[in-house]
Amino acid sequence: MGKRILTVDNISKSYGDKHVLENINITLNQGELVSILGVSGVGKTTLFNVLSGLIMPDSGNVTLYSHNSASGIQSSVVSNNGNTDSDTGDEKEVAGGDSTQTTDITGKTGYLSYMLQKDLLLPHKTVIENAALPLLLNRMPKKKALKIAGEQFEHFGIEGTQYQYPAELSGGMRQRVALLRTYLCDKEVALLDEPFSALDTITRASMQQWYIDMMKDIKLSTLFITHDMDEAILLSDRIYILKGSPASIADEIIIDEPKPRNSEFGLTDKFLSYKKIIRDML
Amino acid sequence: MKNDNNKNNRKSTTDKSVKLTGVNFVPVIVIVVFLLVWQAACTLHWVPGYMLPSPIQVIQAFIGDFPLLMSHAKVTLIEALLGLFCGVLLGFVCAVFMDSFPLVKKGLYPILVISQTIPPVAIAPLLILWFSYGIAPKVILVVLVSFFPMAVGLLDGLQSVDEDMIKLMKSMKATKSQIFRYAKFPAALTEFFSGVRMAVAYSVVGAVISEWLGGFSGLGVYMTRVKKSMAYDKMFAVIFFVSVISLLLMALVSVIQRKVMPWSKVR
Repeated sequence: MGKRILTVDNISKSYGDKHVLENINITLNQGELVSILGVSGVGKTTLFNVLSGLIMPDSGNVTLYSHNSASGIQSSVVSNNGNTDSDTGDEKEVAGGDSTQTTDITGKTGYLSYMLQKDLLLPHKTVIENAALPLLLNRMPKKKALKIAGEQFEHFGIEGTQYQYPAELSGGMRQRVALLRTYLCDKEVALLDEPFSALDTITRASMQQWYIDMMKDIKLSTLFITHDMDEAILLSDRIYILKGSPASIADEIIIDEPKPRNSEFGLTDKFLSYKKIIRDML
Repeated sequence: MKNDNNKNNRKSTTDKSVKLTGVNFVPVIVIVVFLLVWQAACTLHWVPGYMLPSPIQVIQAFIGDFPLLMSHAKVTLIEALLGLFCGVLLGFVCAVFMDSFPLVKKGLYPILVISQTIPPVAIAPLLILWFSYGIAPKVILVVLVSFFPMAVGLLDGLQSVDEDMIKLMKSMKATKSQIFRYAKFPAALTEFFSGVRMAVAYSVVGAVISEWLGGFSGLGVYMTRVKKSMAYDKMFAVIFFVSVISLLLMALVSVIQRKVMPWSKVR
């Protein structure tokens, strides 16, 4: 596995009398996809709101270890951006030629990219403008931003939709655009909050396979929220089970199956035994 | 599967619009029948001629007084558009303030709503008392009547944006003004234009009402004059003229809306 990229240390959060999260500990390594599995309403989204810096935890820390060794496309985005907000790193260490910056990002926005369950595309912007939103918000010249976004359309399987409006796209396509937008946020860690759960079963299955295929080429470290056991087992390197009230990490399961996987994996005994373990835990 | 759904949706919307243009003939037929009955009532003397002029007499009156009507209309239109511009601008600023500062909204919104229970006809004499018979009291009344639909409509629009959208943009480190420019204002455009459409209708009526109560020219002044001379045919002509002006202005707003919001045609 790759180097450590994100540590979530003893996060607790309550709203008034309601204790939502208790002592959450999560680690994420470079290139990993780690799922956080739990029933609806357990506090998964609250956890992501804390990680993305939108809300401040009552206690605990979120630490980002920035390696600056993102994929070629991403680093070209960075250089075009002229805006690397990881300059504020507390300490610098050199490890194996890569410089690692450690940043305490607790309660700070703009360090991780965040994708919500809804695609949240702006209806009045064309697809390409929607995808380029993070670049435009970063005050990149529009022409440049659209060019960088446009180069990714083929890879994300949405070629030809550039100048359509989101309302003209199907649910699956819209979600791909939202994913491209998340990717163009150009952060080393992505938080995906049930990105496929609003899709119908067939579209969801094809999106999961598409996502696996696409992740081969993109070195993105991902934290993935889901309430779907099959999805978690199929996509993840590791799964954290979030449960209880207040929610805490009940267990961590390592899915020991080489990647890239295909949907056949979902029919094996191994898959089912994982599923049984998780079901018993929930 | 999703694609098929989309196609079906699009098909059903075009079906609907075909149906809608079909439906649009119904009011035209109703109006034609109404005019025929009206004409019959006059020519067959069901109603005494001095009380109700026939549609043909009204049209003759309109054509006869056309140059005079135009010169009065010019004055009324200037008042209405000047007031409308100021009212829309004021409503816009007010809505943005109420949206940005919850305290301002809390303090101002109920007062705005209560103020709408005061009929403009009641304020118009006061305005004339304060600002004399010139253009000022008319413009001010138009500002007062057009301001409210703008402020309230736009505020509703600004606050209709999905909370999650704002959350997402905040996670991308968007500033307040960026959130306004990229998400809030475009989302409020539909309401903005409905507000303007309503304000346009109010503004013409507002200008005419304030002219009734005192002034030297304008369609409202023309109205009071023809009323005093019992020229009911001219009275009807000017009433229809005022509503045609309002309709044309509202249609103009819709045309601008379609130009400004090309994405709304997609739905």
